[in-house]
Amino acid sequence: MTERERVRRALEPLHASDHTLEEVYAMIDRDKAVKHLKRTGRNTVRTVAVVAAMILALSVTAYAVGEYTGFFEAVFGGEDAGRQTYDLALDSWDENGSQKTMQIVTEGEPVDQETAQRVLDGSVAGGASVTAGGVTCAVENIVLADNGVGALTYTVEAPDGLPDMTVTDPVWGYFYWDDAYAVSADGKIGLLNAPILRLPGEGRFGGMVDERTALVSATETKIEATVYMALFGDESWPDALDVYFFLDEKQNKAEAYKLTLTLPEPAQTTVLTAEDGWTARLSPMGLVIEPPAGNPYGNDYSFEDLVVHLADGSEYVVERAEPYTVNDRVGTIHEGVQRLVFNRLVDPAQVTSVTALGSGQGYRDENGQPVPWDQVSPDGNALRPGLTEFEDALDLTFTQ
Amino acid sequence: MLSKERFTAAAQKYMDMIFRLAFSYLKSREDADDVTQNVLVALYRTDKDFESAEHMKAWLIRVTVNECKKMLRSPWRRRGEPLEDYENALGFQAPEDRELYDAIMALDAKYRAVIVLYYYEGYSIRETAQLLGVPPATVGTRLARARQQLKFTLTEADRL
Repeated sequence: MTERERVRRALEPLHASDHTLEEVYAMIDRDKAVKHLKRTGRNTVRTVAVVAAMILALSVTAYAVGEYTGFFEAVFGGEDAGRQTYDLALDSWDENGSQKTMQIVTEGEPVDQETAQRVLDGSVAGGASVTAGGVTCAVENIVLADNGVGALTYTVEAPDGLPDMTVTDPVWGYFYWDDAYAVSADGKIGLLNAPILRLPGEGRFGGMVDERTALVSATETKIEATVYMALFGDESWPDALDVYFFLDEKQNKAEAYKLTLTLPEPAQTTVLTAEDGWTARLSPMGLVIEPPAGNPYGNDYSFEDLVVHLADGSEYVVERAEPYTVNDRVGTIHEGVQRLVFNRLVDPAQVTSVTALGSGQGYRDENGQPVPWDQVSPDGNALRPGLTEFEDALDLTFTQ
Repeated sequence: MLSKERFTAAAQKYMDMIFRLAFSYLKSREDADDVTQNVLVALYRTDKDFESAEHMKAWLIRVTVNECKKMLRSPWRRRGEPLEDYENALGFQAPEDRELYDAIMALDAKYRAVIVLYYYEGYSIRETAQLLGVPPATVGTRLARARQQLKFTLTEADRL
């Protein structure tokens, strides 16, 4: 019996109460009754919302492309970039309900403007803005690389005060589904006004772009932030990107604050290879690692020590376990393809190798042979009978 | 918003999953039932356009995790029947299943949630990390430590 089957048997007896659905319908009915009493005032609100949307449709303006010095600093790090320690609030709570935290180290470095201009020439575009209800949301610039990573800077400005702003000092941002959570150095979590990026046709609830938002500055009337983004899997950047600005927790203004960006030509990537058919596609702003076809790991592999080695003998530690070092902005994995967005600029011409230490989990068949990850569970639910789990140590060196 | 038929089908399909995850966080039948009801009401009310069953399931897990956190912070956590009474009434197939259940429930909450999502629901480390909002390396570490603790606990139980 596999570990998974043993755990399933141990937890199988846990079931929701027989009365769960009755309770839920009773709660829904109570909710409907309250809504009925409140309905009178709602038409007025609807009318205001329609007018706001009409004004908005007329006020989208295109930005001209300008100098990118400030943009590169916002994306890759300015003069103040260096080593910092953050407290990351964990999804873990002690018996008193207090949230636990862990320390994270990040190591930034100031961007070399000359190198940025050279390696990203032609891959930066100007943005656009939209104004409605006294709030202006603007994407200032966007930069992309053709290994599916990118970044943009944006502002949200409201002279009369930002709507529903709950965070003024986030240092770390996460984005899951519809909410962006920022964790400050003292461990508090709050909603950050973050745009949501979607491929054309995805709509609001798509999910093919993963992103993390870092705040540059915030006042009571203006927020400036940088969004780092990565596509899932082998998607490539389209010609345009939809950006939704959600300015309140319920996101009922999302459709009103929408921009569509025309995207620049992505920066080129360099292909590196390692043992056993592993490949890495390196760009100035990120790395995509792909295991060989037919590998047993799928998404179940990770690197605890991932380092970019440079020609001058220096190294860029992208991730390291001890101390827990995170020098990437976004990490995604889809069907085994891992995509990382760097927190600094890397000149691919100066990279001699990328080393990766970690582990991968998979299954062996009755004959002890590793089973390709996409054949482990033919029906998508149960494991193929007779499989046993194994874990491999991974020690890879990627070179050109 | 889901039609009543689609909502009912989804609720019947996922309510045990929601309860199991909530119970692993809260170790209280009453609180886990409350969370299950709140999550299902949220499902009924949402205007989300779920792309697939997997999309809905992942959304439900995120909402469940958030509801559990809220519940843990709440001063109004309910006191119900003694946990032991509830657990003794659960129908385990074999004594070793109960032993493993006890060992899992003796783990810290952060390990229990990872065990449920990785082992029971079959999510990968990356997916579990996304659902819980922690780095994948953290999930890997928690799994390794949970396995270690489980092995230790079960070995000790055998010696008794």
